Amino acid sequence: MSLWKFRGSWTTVKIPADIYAINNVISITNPAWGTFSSASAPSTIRPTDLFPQAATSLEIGSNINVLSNRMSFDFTYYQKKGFDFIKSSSVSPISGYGSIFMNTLEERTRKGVEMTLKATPVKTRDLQWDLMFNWTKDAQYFTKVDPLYTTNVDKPWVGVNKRTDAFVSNDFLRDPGGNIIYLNGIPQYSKYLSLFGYADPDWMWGLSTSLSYKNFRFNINLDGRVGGLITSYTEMYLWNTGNHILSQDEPARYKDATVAGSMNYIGNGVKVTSGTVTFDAIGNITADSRVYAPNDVATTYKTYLQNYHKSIAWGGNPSPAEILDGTFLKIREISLSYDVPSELVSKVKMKGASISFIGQNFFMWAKEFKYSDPDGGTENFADPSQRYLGFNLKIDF
Amino acid sequence: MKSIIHYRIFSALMIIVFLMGCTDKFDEFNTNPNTVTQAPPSMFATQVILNMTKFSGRDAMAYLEGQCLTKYVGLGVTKVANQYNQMGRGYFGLTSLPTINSMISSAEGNPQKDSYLALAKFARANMFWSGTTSLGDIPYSEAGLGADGNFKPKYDTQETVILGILNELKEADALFAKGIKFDGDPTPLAGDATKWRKVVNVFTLKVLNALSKKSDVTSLDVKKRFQDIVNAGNLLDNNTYLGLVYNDVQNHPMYNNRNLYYNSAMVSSMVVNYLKRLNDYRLFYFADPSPDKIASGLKEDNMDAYVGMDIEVEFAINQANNLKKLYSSLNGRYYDVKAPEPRVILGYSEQQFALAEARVRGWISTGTAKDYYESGVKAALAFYKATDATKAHNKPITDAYISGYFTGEAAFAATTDAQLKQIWLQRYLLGYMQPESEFYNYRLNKYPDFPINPATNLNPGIGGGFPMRNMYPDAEYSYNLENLKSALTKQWSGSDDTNNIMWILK
Repeated sequence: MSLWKFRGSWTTVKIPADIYAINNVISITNPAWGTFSSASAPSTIRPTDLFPQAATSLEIGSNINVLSNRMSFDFTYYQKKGFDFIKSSSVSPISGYGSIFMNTLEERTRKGVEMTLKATPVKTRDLQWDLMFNWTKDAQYFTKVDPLYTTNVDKPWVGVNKRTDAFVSNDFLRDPGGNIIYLNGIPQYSKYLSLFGYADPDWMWGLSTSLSYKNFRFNINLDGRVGGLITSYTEMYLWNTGNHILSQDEPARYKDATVAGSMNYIGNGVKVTSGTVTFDAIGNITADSRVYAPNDVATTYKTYLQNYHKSIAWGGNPSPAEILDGTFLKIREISLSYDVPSELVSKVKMKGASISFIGQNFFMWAKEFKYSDPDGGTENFADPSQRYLGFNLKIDF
Repeated sequence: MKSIIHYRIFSALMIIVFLMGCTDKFDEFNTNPNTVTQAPPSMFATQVILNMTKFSGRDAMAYLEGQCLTKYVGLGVTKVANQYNQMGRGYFGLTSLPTINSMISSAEGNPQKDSYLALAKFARANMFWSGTTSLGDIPYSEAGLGADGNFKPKYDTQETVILGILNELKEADALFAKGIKFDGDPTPLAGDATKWRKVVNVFTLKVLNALSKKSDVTSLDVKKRFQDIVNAGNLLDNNTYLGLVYNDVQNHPMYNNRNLYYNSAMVSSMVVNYLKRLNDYRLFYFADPSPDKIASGLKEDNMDAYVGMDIEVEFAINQANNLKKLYSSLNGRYYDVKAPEPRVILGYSEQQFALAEARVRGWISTGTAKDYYESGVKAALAFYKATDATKAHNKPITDAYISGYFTGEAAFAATTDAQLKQIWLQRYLLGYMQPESEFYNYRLNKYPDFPINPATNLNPGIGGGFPMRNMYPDAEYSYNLENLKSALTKQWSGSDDTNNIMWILK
C-alpha cells in the first residue's frame, strides 16, 4: 500500500428569499379597458416570517493507492439534505388564494456514491497505458413530507423514502391484457395520472484511457448514463406533423390521401362493446363490467397519429409513446497526437512541435433516442449535437 | 486601565447602535419602491367587473372551441374535441376574491361604499353560480377563507349553494337600491347604481329560470322570488345591458384572425336551417355565403346560398368538403372589424325570454307571453341592425322587416310545449359568437335539437350523449382530496363522470 487517506466534510448553506419576495403587491393594468386602469390584489399569501432555505451536506470518502501508485481506488459517499424550502405552495383556489409563499415542512435528501478506479496496467520505458473509470449513483428521496403543501402529497408516488423525481403522465386506457382501448377509432387516454418511472438516471459512468508509446499518445474519453426517463419533443412533433420516417410507408396513409373522405387506418387495440367502469378519486378501478372486442373502427392515419402522439405545446402531459429511456453513451473525445522528436525539431530551430488529431463528440449511441440527443436530461427540440473533428499543430519557438 | 475600560464600553455601545440600526432598516430596504400596496376601490372595481365580463380565454381558438360545444360552429381544418362533445375538467376557483375583498376594504368611509359592496355580492354570486352549474356540489360556506387559514374547504350541497347565491343577489339588489353612482365601471352602465340594480335582478331571473326542475323546492321558493322581482319592476329596458364595447385597443377576439385555423370556422347546419325556417335575416349577419354556391350562380342575398356544416359528421368528411369550399364560414365582420358588435353578458332580450318562459309556465300572471317573446326577438334583431350593414350581404335588417318578422314558424305558437321551444330557440340564437350558457340550457331542456352522432361522439359512456357536467378540477384532487371524495360519494357514489346528473337537473 502506498497511501491510504480518509476525508470528510460537512457544510451548511442558507439561502434567504429574494429581495421584495415577501412584499404584498397590488398589480396595476393600464389600460385595462378603454381609459380605465384596474388593480388586482395578489392571490398568493406572502407572510413576513420566512426562514431562509437551508441545505446541509455530509461527505465522507477514502482514497487508497496500491502497487506503488500503479492503482488507486477512491470512494465517496455523500448526502445532501435540503429543507425549509421556500415555495409558492399551491392550495385549493376555492380558498380564495392560489398559493402560499412559505417554508414547507418538506425535507429532501440526495444520497449518492461515487467511485473512481485508476490504474496503470502497463508501464514500460516506451509504453504506458493509463485507465480511469468512474461511476456515480445517486437519487433524491423525500425524508419528510409536508402533509398539506408537498405537491401531489395525496398521490401514491409521493411519500417518505419515495423518490422526488417521479415521472408521471396520463397513460392510455387499457384493458386487463394491456391493450389500448379505442373509442370511434381513436386511442383513449386516462384522465388520471400514473407513474411511469423516474427522471434521474440510475447511474452515470465515465471511462478514460490514455495510451502512450514513444512519441505517440492516444486518448479516448467516454461517458454515459443508464436509465431515467426523458420526454422527446422531437419524436412527438415528427409524428404529429407527419414527417416521421416510420410514418412514410403506412399503406393507410396513401389510401387516405388518394380517396377523399375515406378512413383507412385501424388502430391496434380493443374497443368496448358494452359495460361501464367507475374509478375512484385517484384512478383505481372500483367497478368494471366492460366487455371488449378487437378494434375495427377505421379513422384517418393523420387523426390516429395526432391522437396517439399528442401535441403538448399548449400544455398537457406527453403520450407514453414519447416517454423514452435516456440511456446513452458518448465518446466525448478521442485524440491521437505525435510529439515530433527533439532531434528533428532542433534542425528547424524550434524547441518543440506536436501534431494531434482530435475528435469531440466523436460517437454517440442511445438506447431509444434515434433523432435527437438525450445528453442534458431534457430534450425540447434541441439542435442536433455537433461532432468536431480537427487537428492541432503546436510549435514552440 | 482607564483607557481599556473606556474602549470596551465604547465598542459595546457601538455594537448596540449598529444592531438597532440594522433591524429598523430591513423593512425599508425590502420594500420595492416601484410597486404599490394600496389602490382606490374604483380600480379594484374595474378588475372585478372585467373578470365577469371580459373574454378570459387564451385566444381566438379558445373562443371558437366554446362555440363548437354548443353547436354554433364547427371547424374544418383541425378536429376540435368540444365539437364532438368531449368535456374535460372544469375550473372553479375564487382567486379573484382577494381583489373583491380589497375593493370592499378600501371603500371604507367612501360614500360609494354601498355600491361597491353590492358589486362584490353580485360578483360572488356570479362565481358560485358558474361553479355549481359546471360541477355540482361545491364549497360555499367555507369558501374564500384562505386568509383565515382554511385551505381545505368542505363541500356544500347544491341546494345550500344556490340558496346562498339567491340571498346574496337579494342583498346586492337592496344595496344597489341605496347605493350611489360608483367609479371604475368600464361597461356602458358607467357605474349607475339603478342600472346595476336592474342587471342584478335580470341575473336572478336567469338563475331562477335555470331552476325550473326545482321550482317546487320550498327552501328555494323559486316562483315567489321570480314574482317578487317582476312585481318590484326594476328590470332592464331596451338600451341597457351588462357587457363591454370593443374599441381600437381592445378588439374582438376574432379580429384579424383570418388564417388557416380560424378561417375554417363554419356555421353549423343546425343554426343555418333554423334561421332559414324562420326566414331570419340574422343569417346574413352570422355567416358568409358558401363559395361553392356563389360560384354556381346564386347571389349573396339569397338564403339558398348559405350552407351549414354538419358538425356531428366525421371530421375527415368535413375537412374534405371544406377544401371544396362547400360551407358558409363565419361572417367576415368578425374577422375584419375591430368592434363588430358589443359583448353582451346580460341584456334585454334574454330578460324578456326569461319572463316569457315564466309566463308560459304560470309563474307570473302579469303581461302576456307573446308580448315578452316578441319584444325579446325585436330587440335581438335590432342588435344586429345596429352592426355594420355593409357586411350583411345586401340583406340588412330594417324596421319594416322587424315588424313583419312574426309570420310562419316565427309566429308565437299555440301550445305550451311549442311556445317554450320557440322561446328556447330564440334564446339560443342570442348566443351566436356571444357569451352564452347554452350548454346549461341544453342539458336542462334538451332543445334546440343538437345533432349528436354516436359514431363520432367523444363523450365516453356507452351510447354517449351530450355531457352533463365538467369533471372536478385537478387542483381539488391535488389539494382538497378528502372533502372532494365525500362530495363525490354523496352525489354519485364516488364517481366523477361527465355524464353524471347533478341535483338541479333531477
